Amino acid sequence: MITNHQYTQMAIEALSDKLNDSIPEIRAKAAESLGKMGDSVPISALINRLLVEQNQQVQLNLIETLGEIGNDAAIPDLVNYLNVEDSLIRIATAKALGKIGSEKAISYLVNALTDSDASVRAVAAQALGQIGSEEAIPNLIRIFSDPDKTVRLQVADAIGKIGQRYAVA
Amino acid sequence: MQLEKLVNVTLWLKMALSKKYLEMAISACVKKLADSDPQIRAEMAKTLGELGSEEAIPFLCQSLENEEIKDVIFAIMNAFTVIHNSGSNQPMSENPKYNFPNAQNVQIVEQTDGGDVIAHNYASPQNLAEAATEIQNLLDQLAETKPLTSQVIQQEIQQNSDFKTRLKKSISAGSIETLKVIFAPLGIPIEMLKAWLEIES
Repeated sequence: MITNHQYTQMAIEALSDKLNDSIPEIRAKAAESLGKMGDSVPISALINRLLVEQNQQVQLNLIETLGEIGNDAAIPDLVNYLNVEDSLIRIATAKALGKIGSEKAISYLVNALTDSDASVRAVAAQALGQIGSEEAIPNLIRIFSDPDKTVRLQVADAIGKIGQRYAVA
Repeated sequence: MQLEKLVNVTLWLKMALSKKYLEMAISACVKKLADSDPQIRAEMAKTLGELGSEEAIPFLCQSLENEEIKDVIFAIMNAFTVIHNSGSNQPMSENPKYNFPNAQNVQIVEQTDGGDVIAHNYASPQNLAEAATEIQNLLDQLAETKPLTSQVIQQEIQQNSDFKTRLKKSISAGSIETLKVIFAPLGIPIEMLKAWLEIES
C-alpha cells in the first residue's frame, strides 16, 4: 500500500500540472478530476490557479474541488469569491464552504445571507446548516422573513439541522 | 489428457491467473497508448482505468505529458479517477482499516461489541498468488513425467520428501481456499491432501 500512495501522488501531480494548460477545457477537466482523487490532494496548485483563472467554468470546477477536498486551509482564499460579481461563482463558493464544514467560514456565510441574489442566500443558509454551529442561529432567524420562499425553506432546514446536532450531543 | 488437467488447474488458479492476465492486459494496453490513432489511445486509457490497477498510472502520466488531443487527455484524466476509486484489483482506500505494508501473513484479532474475540488469519494477496504459482509449478514438473492423477500425486508425496516439503510450505503460505480450487479439479478433496501431507485438520 506504500506503492499505492506513490502512484496516487503521481496521478495527482500529473493532473495538477494540467491546471495550467493553455486550453480552458483541459484545465476544467483537470480541476474536476482532482476533486475525485481523495482528500490528500494538495490545495496549493488549485488555489494558485484559482487566483489567476479568468474562465468561469474552470473557476467553478476549482471551487467545487476545493469543497470536495475539504481542507479548511482553502477558506481564506475561497471567501473572496463570495464577493465577486458572478453569482454562479458566489453560489459555488458558499456550497464549497458548507462542504468544508469549518466554523472559520461562519462569519463570511452570515454576510452572504444578505446577498442580492436569492440563490446565494439559500445556499449560504444551507451551508450554515451543514457547518452546524449554533452561533449561526440568530442570523438565520433574521432572514426568516426573506422575500424568497426557497431561502425561507433553507433557513428552516438549516436551523433544524443545527438543532438536531445539538440534540444528539 | 495431462494437458487438459493442467489447463483445468490453471483455470482454477484464480489468484495467480488474475495477476498474470492483469499484467498481460496492462502491458498490451500500455503499448497501444502510443498508437497513432487517437481513438485507440483514448480507448486504451479507458480500459486501463477499468482494469483498476495502479501499475498503469506511470504510463498514463507519461502519455498525458505528450498527448495533444483533447478527448485522449480527458480519457487519461478519467482513468486516474476511475483507478483511484476502484478497489477491485488493488485496494486503494485512503484510510484502510488495516494497513500492513509488505506483510507476509497477518493475524487480526477483533473484539466485537458483545465481547467475542474474532481472529482472522490472512495471507497477503501477493503471498497467495506466489503460493498458488509455486504449487502450480510443482504440479507442472510432475506432469512432465506422469499423468496427473490423484494416485500419482499421493505417490509423489510419499516418495519425494522434497516435493512434500515444498508443497507443505506453499500451503502454509497460502490458504485452504486456494488449495481447494487447485486440487478439487484433480479429484483430490482437501481432507485427503491434508492427510497425505500429515497436516492435522
